[in-house]
Amino acid sequence: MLLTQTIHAAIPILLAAVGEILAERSGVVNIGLEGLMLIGAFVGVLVGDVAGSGLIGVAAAWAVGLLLGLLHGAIAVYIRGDQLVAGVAMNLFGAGLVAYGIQAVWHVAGYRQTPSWALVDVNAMTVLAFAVAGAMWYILSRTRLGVAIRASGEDPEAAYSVGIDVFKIRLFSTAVGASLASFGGAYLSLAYLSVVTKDISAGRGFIALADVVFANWNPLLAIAGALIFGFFDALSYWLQIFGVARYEVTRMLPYIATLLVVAGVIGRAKPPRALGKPFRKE
Amino acid sequence: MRGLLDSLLSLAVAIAVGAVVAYISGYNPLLVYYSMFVVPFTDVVYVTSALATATPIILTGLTFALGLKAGLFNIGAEGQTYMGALGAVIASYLAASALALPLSFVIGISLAVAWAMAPALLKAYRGVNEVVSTIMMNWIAYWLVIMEASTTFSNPMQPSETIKMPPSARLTPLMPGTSLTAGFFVAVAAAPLVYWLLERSVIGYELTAAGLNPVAARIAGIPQSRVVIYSFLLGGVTSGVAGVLQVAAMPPSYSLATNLANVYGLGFDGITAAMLGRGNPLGILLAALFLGLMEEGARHMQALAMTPFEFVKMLQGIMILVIAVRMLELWRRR
Amino acid sequence: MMIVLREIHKVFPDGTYALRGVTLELKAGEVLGLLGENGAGKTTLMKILSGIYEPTRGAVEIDGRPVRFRSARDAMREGIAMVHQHLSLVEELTPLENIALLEGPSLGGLGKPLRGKVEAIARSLGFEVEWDRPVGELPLGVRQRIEIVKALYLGAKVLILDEPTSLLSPPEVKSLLDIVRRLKAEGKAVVFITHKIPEVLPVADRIAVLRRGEKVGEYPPSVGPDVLVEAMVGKLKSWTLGREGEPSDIVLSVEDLWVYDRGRPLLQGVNLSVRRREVHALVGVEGNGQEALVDALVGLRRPARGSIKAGGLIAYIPDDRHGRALVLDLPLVHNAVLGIHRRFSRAGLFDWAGARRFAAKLIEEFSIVAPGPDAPVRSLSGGNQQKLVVGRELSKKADLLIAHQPTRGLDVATTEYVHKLLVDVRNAGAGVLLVSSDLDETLKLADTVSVMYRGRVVLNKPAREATVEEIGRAMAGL
Repeated sequence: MLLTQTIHAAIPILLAAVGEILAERSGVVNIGLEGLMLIGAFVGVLVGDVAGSGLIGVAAAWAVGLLLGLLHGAIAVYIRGDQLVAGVAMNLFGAGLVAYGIQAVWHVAGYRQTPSWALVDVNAMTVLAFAVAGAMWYILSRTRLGVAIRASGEDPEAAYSVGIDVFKIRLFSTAVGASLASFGGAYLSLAYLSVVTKDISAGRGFIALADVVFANWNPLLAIAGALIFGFFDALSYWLQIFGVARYEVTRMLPYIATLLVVAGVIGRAKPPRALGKPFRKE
Repeated sequence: MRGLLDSLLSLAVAIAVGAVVAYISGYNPLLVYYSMFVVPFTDVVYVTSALATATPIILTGLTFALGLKAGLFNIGAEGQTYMGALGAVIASYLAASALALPLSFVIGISLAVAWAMAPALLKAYRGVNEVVSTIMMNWIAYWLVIMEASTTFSNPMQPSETIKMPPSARLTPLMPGTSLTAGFFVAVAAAPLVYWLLERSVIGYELTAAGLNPVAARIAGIPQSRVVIYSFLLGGVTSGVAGVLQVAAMPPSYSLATNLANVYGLGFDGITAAMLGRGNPLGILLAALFLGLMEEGARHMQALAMTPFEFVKMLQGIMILVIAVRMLELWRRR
Repeated sequence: MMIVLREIHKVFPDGTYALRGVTLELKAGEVLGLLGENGAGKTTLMKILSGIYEPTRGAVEIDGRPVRFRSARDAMREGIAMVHQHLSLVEELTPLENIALLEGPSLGGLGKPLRGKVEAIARSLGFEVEWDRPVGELPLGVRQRIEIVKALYLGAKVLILDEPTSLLSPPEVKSLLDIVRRLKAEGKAVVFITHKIPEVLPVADRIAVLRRGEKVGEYPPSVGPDVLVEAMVGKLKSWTLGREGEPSDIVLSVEDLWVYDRGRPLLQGVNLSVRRREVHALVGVEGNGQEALVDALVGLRRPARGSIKAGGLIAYIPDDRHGRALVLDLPLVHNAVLGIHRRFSRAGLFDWAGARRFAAKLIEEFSIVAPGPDAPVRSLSGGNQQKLVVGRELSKKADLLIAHQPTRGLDVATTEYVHKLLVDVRNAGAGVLLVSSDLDETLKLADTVSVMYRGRVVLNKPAREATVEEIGRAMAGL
């Protein structure tokens, strides 16, 4: 059914986007989502295979993402460097690591089927992803933690002056955000596509960035955005099956759709005021 | 000078980490690095091959650097290179003579620039973030060029390639049996040319000022739209040239592989070179040569140490990660 | 409760010696006025008391006990709170959320217990607040009150108000002084930092004056303004400002200008004209549209309606030189030609030799202290950076000069110098649009005064016919 496929296709984008919303709301931009997704997909299969359980694989992918997010956060927050460059580094590193890893571990060229004992139920993961989005919305808008996070991203000086540890908040948000991206990657390899390849993410990390803007940094709206992209993703497979359009044209559709959406939406989107700007105490 | 030390440090760390990873994966680290860094120098064929590999990377690195200088994140070199290569193929289709060479550059550069203009205009007039738009354009180009290469321009005698460049239009190897062509000198000339442009021209001044303080620049009569468009335009030219050379100067096939093997990844290699070279055209030249060496070495590593080619990609990733940490730590101390 | 700041020295990492052995006492139930010019050290001293800075030498004592504050939170725990000049409220959050921030990043909610407490505090001080609108939409006087509620919410016994009236209109200033009196009556200690003598006199029990990092003395308010001014400023030499010639043809004409920002109108039908040989001062409390008008004039904002007609070249001295006039990471010569760089174009190539000569000329003409044209402009002091900007803009020989807070943050000598330059420009035949929130500067220099309030020009008169009361009332919307 096209609807279920749309929803399933939307999940990795939703997870990465919600994670990035958290990070960006706190003031840190992480464009390394693509690399994180790849690493998550790879680690998920690797650990899930060896441990005999997809759930352990998912947990491992999530944990690796958390660690890498801590690294990015440390670079952004404590070393106060260029966050975009660090994100590109993450992407390059992820791509290289996964391409090498698939070869080195399984001795195959760039493609590995996920063994059946490592698979995870795609519907369970879908529900979990929606729950995460909902929880993120609630935390950001209805709790004191959310207020602290938003303050760190809008006006870190003001937040700091009332005793909010902006550094810790940003580090925490970046780490958790990254863990959701790698979680999305594990979903790709362990639940949705059941395979891991060296470019399994296929630009989804960047589509998630577009979703963040589309959603105006609101996790609930990110669901809508992810569904739109998921629709085109699912559509391309359907068009192929029915031979309506050439394979390559159908594969282009999600990217063209993203481009059009992003072009149409800018102007009304308001990013957190201190996004991408490192915070100095004095 | 500090920049050079940073790059060397990142290399050292990457080699160290890589050695550990190689060892864990069951490969011999000494053999790996020997084949990567020493073997390429043992035969002139290898050396010239490394230089030929470096050629497009110099150009795509300049694309990214031109963006950085203007305060922009242009990661569209990948797609622009594909379009440049497509242009060379189209030229081969249209002209069966030596004319195909200049025509390649004309069509290839035009296509690449057009490809760069889309994100540039979106950024200049709609404020669309160029990170997302250039990546989308990369993927669209990927599928578009694959489609054209495998249908309209496919080579009936060798379906995994496009039609070949007419023999009289090809850039031939400088030494028989090697893969180095005059294309290398085109790329090497491009770096100081871009440097000179940035330092000595009015538009270079405007890009530099706007890249560092876009608001002050706007007030001073340098509209952001001009900055974006010029930066992306120049970047599109260099990547377009890279793409054309990957067909017109690629012995022995002088065609585009339908899986884009001769152009895939060049854009991202360029980003790596630009980062290692600190965004400075002359630094990029050195960095690209180094990357060319690494990749040539990787081929030997595959044969001699049985290590997968992608190991070198992972090394490069670690290098950039270390640079992202180290270089920015120095930034902090200003 | 008795607080003593004992022999406080503060040296900043960049070498600035901000405080040199200042000792100050503070008791509960009293209002202490802290007076001084820009850069005297008043804010630095209070930031040490409120925990934001640590002293390089010296100590803070509470009831004889030395305390060490590593952060504002530490100071807040002892009951010391500071309300800053640039309010530390997050504009995108509501007042309630801003106060919730004080409770730290827990998973707790934003419901009734919190709301009840803050409403009670506001009532005790005699005012009400809209708790659920983003702070950015509330007037500055209300925002200040939220800051005071914030301080009291945490149980502040000492309130430090840093230049609280700089963004208020005269009626709002009156309300603030009433609140200060109520705080004193409740037994709190209040420190009132300002450089505006008439405002602190009616409410202070004692006035301490700082100058260049040292305490000059403490005085009762009865000592009178003249003594205080001399303590603040020392002996001053002022230039005589000779005005030559009368205003002539119009060089800038703004008609029915409307500018919006995300749906909110910043300018509502502004009419303004500036003539040659005229210093036209545009005054008003910051945030009433002056910034938007200047932005529109220099092309940073697009008007929704109306027209701007400028008869000639425009020079612009922005209020934020780091953000708008200079590229800090480039050398002096690059900055010296920013905006006029096209003059150095030779068929697309840059005439750097000519640019250097030009920069050297500016350095000499405007007495800019710098090693040479290649010095990084970041290393120049604020005053010299401003001189560079002023010099550059003046060299354009423009028909219209827009000077936006041209002397903000500058020391007295440089301020006088800039004033003289502005009058020279006027005398030479250009029109000057002076946007300033400093009424003294305005009245000294202006031929014509316009007052902006809520996006409109509400007063427009020749300077010699306008009284301070009239201008004050217009600024408050009366």
